[in-house]
Amino acid sequence: MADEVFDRSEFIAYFRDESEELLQQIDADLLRLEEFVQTGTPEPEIVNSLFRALHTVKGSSGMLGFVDVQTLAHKLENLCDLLRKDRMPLSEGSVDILFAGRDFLTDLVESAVNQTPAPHGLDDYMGRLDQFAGIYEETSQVIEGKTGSEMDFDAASGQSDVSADQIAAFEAEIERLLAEAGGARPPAASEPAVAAAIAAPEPGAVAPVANVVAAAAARRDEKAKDAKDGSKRAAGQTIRVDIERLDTLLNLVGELVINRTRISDIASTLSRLTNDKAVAAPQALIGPLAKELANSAASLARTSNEIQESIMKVRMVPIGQVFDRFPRLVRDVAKARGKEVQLDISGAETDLDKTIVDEVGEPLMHLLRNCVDHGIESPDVREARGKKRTGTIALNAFHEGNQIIIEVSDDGNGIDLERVRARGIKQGLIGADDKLSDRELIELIFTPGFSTAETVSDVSGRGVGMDVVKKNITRLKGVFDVDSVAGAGTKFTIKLPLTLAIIQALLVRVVDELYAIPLDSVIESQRVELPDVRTVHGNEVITLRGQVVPLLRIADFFELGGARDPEKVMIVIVGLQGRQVGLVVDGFQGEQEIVIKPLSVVVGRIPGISGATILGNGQISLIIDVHSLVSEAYAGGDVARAEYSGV
Amino acid sequence: MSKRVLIVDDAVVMRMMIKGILSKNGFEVVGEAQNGVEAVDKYKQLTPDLVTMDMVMPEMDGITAVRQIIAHDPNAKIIMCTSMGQQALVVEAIQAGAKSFITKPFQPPKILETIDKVLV
Repeated sequence: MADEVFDRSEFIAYFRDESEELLQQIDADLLRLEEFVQTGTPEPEIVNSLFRALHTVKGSSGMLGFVDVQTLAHKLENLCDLLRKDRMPLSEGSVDILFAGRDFLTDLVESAVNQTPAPHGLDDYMGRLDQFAGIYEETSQVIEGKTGSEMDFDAASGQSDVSADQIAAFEAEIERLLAEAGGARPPAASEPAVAAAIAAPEPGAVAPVANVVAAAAARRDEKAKDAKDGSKRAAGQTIRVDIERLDTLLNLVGELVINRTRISDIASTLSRLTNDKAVAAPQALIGPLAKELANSAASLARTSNEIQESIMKVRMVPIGQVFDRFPRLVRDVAKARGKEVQLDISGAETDLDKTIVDEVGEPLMHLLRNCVDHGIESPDVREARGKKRTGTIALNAFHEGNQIIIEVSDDGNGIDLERVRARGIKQGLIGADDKLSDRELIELIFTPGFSTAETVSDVSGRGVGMDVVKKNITRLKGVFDVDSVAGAGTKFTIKLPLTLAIIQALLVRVVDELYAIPLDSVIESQRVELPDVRTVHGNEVITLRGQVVPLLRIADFFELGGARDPEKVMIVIVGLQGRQVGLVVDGFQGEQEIVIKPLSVVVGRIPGISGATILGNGQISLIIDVHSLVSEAYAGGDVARAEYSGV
Repeated sequence: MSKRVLIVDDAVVMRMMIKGILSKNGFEVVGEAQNGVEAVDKYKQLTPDLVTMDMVMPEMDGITAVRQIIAHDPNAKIIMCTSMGQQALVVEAIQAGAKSFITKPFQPPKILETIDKVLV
């Protein structure tokens, strides 16, 4: 029989992903459980679900030799079991100790996977947990009338390491129970295995002492080895993919292969025709080949489009993966601040690119903290204002075109613009006499270092401000916006592209070059006769449906030169956080899906350009970074002055 | 011909490990199920030679699944995968028709040995 040792490393990434999911679920279950503290009797399914999740964590960590994780999961599972069997009342105390246990479990999984030391305070917690469970376990054992040996097993399995002889003893106990139950068993069942086991202890079960020692030594060696190549153990990034999506992809690859064969057939026929001197390659032979090649190319185009779509779908995961951890966050922050907050989540099933999902968690977490900390008022204040004592924060995600929109809104204070203004003046960000629109005042909160909080609270005032949130969102090619009504609440809106790799773009011609403008920032394109372009303070503007829109000539911005059209201008209106700017180009070349290629580091960062793409005909086109282009132009002050001159 | 096995466990790590051990030792893993309901469905559909069955799972637990599989096929060969402290449940599963059991965390030789005995 093969006596192999597991290569545990290949399972560690799966373990981490699986544990992460289970821990999220444990969190959700605990939150639901907490709702029953008042009545004292939880819905059995919640406790069962909790029990199963902990049980699975225990089993998997045990297989991988993560003893600390296994031990803690076991103890928490025990606690749930007491709850499940009504041996322990559901109380604030029991829920709190479970919540704390869940957090330690999360840290332990991380430290096991990354081979870092166990979290601080673990021993303390384990002690508290034992003490807590001890009270109820004693009574329950008396009630249940467990045999002495069974109690030993419970204790043993909670111990740090499960030794081979403990397992052997456990298995012998089962055999004994089976023998006792003997006659009740259906005769057909389990004769060979069980009968043999009863007659003589299973060889594997009661291993000779020498084997046990050898196994222990092997385990020790393995641990040492694992510690040595710890870097190799660090788990890679994985993604769970719906098998249907992979099947679609596989089918498409099948079609690619068929096409490859067709094309190489055509190629070899062609080369035979060229090499065969006897054949003068009459039109009659080439014609059908050309047709065949065209068909094949068309089918190739269709297939590669579909592959592109499918592979993007493979990278898509529901945003719920991020949302799941928020109920707990909101609960903890609310509790710490003495507030009552209800978090309503919708659209958790909305899909978006895995990379974006991973990145959007931090900013969202910060926004939610902010809502609880600064947005929602304390229960008494709310009552005095005629609001419900419990504040509501809504987290909502949905698709809109090629974008995903995430909204975080609360029914709290709203942003106090007067306070923002006062703070801005105090911090020297604006002058005391500056006249600023409401929107500009709100923009102030995105300034680095800005905070309206008088004292830095331990919740949101950690030096991470809204400026960082905005920077994170901008880095993801997203747009971040705030709407606020004083006294009624605040709404943050985040618009993100579904994927960072492929976008819809409007191709425009400027002088002799083609530029790509991401379609999600394009509002419309216009042809305007030159007389309709007015000049304000030396800057060109147009009036569009009553609104003054400043123009920005791309040719001038990039200093391309070129002659101006004496009769008309072609304008692409782009929108950015409520502002509109008209980009002047020389011609429109239609929409196209483009693959973004980053510019090489050698080229460096070019203001106004976010990358390049290769068009269907092999030509290279630069992608315009609307955000940096517009802010660059605004920074020059020219366009801004035109906009606010009150034309 | 290699024996065909259905692996039932709600933990993906556990399924992968058992699958790894069995495939390296000449078994063909024909299916995986992550709860009792799936297990019963896949048993009917795949008629495997052997099933490894976890006890604690969502939707339907292992013992109920054993009962339903045995009701469908009294000769089904099912091995329970159990944790320490579940002795009463193991006894119940075997009375329901499971042929044997292995205790987590198990070592590869132990699984193979138990399977060999059950498949005799």
